[in-house]
Amino acid sequence: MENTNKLTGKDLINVGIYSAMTLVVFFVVGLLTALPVVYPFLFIIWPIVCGIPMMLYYTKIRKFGMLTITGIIGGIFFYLIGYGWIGLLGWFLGGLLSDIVLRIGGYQKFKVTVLSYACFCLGIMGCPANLWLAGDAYWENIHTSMGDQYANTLQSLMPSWMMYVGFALLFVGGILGALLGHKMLKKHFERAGIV
Amino acid sequence: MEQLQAVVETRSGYRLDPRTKLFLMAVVATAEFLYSHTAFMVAVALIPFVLLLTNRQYKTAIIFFCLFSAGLFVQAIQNSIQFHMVVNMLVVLLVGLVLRLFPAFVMGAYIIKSTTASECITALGRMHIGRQITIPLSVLFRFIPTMQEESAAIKDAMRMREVQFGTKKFWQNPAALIEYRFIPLMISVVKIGDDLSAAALTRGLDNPVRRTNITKVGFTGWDLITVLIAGTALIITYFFSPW
Repeated sequence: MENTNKLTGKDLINVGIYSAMTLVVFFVVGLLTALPVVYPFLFIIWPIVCGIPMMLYYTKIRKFGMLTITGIIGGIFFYLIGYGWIGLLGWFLGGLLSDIVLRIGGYQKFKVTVLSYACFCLGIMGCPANLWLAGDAYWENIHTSMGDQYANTLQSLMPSWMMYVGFALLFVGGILGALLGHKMLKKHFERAGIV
Repeated sequence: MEQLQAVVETRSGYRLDPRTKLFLMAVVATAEFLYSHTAFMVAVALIPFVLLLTNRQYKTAIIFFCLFSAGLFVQAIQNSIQFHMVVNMLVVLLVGLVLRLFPAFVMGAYIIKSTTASECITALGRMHIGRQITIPLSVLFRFIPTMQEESAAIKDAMRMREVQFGTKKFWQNPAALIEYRFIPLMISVVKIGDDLSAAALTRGLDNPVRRTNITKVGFTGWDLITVLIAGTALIITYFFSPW
């Protein structure tokens, strides 16, 4: 059983558990977006906090596909709460990319894990990507639904170059998050006998 | 856990196929983000509201109704009042949240409450969605309530040590909140997860044979009626709205 490349029931349950954990953490942190001023900083906060559950998740991953499934589930979730198809696509691509990195670099290696997690974080970009990619119709929608004042504040905080900065921040945040998660893993989880 | 019961008594009366529910969910989630008039938004919100009533979730339905009406009211008077910038931002965001996102949230509450796990898995299987998606999804829904319970228990335990939001000790070291609240939660969730996978494996989760099911899943006249009513309501309000 250990040698097959197909995902077994145990793997799939692990996917469910860790996806649930990561999504809950992500969502709780995301509630901070109630204040648009915090928005740019979220690119760095999200990956760092989510690093803790994800590093624990990475200790269980030995097969291709688990991260992709997490990406798809996260994407469906964000599609339903209103980020549209770009959110779905972003999460899916992020999951796929991190899976490929793991596949090429090898499983259970710390450096590869850090890189792969940083790639996974790039997928988070799917959520705010609407602001730039969906164009004027989306902005018009925000203007009518949220009021001019909010839309203008958001627009001034989110110029188009912010997208590239966002990617960079997510990547750096991913690396930092992976390191933090690794530290926590050493400090708490190994002592508790979980890893 | 009511949702995990294997055997479902054959309920008569109004009930929908899980696929219809998912379809309506997708419709609601998409429709919320179309630019539209008030009538259309009300029509979108009515779908989950009526469904909640049919499932006897009166409490959720009433809360949803009150919040949604309050949201509509604030939106109506919003442009005549100028708030301070920060207040305006909060108000606008809350109203947007209630009007745009709550229909989908409430729809989700309805689906989770009215669908048993085996009904859901059978229906997804009929849609040719593999177990790679269905198993993680059902585990996910099984775990979110567990995480809430565990989190509440840990919160109570940590209150004794003054590890909670807002105390003097918290401001001395805010990161401790993460370490003392979040890490124990993860540890207990992982333990519960291990138990869960052991239980599922002994019950033959890994069996390669196709899963059989005694739950009856199928489209009935109710599905047709519901989709027709919802569809006409949405189309009429979208294209021929008086406002």
